[in-house]
Amino acid sequence: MSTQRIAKLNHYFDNQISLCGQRNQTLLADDRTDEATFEKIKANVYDIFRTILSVAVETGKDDSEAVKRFFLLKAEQIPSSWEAAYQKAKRHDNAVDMRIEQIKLDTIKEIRETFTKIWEGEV
Amino acid sequence: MTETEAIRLFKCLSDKSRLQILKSLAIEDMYVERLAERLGITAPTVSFHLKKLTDAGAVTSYKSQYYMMYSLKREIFETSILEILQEKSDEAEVQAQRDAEYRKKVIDTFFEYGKLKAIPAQKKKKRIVLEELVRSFEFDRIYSEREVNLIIADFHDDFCAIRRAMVDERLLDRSESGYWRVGMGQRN
Repeated sequence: MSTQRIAKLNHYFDNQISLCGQRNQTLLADDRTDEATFEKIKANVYDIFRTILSVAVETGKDDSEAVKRFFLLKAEQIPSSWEAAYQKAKRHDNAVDMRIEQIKLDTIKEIRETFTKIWEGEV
Repeated sequence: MTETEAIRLFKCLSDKSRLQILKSLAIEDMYVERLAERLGITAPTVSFHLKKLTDAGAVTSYKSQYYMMYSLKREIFETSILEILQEKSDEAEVQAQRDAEYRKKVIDTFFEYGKLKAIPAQKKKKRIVLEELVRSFEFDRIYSEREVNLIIADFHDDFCAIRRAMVDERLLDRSESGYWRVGMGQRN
């Protein structure tokens, strides 16, 4: 059961990273370099959490709950600095930094929701 | 516009989305959501680009009722690229120092004990050598060809070639009355 869910999650991460790469190339070809960079930022977030998942699986062994706990804990801990950076940028009315941090926060939100759905067997 | 400001502006303009935003603002002042709708990008992304454009001095904003309106800073775009290129470089002093060092190196290579060892083949080096030689000529004075030859002969035997080169390089000019150093009243 766990193996299937992990495979699904890995497939999700691989797919998202691949899509980001495609969009990055399209945007670069269209001379929209900053928006292309946004896609790279998203891909980096997916990549980080693909690694977190593999660490969670390794440390949690066959304990499905332990894997979930580890993954969701990291999915709370890691973005806390992004949230702080976003709030700081907002205080300084810095739309450039706000956008970058928002992209990371939106991506992790989506990862958390997808993880929960797959792990709870909803998809 | 300083060199740093020009670089920031050009970097900022080299993005299609930002160019589209500027094109829209060239028509009329707009707020973020209007631009987002018009250009098919999200409002936060429009804000991101507007911040960059504002920092680059291309766009300015003002409050109008509930909206923050953005407008094109037209005076920036009325500046010609040639005007930007003609601005004194931030690096001017460093460049001048590099030029002076290069000049000294060329002079040290081609002159020995006040004599010209050889006429450089490379145009840039030849010009430096000729500029050094022309320093022996006074401004505001007409020299006969013989006088010119004698002055140059102090440095090198091929005074004819050097005299002609000085005229070609517009360091000396001539008429029926003789030769004179070009740039009268300039720094020696």
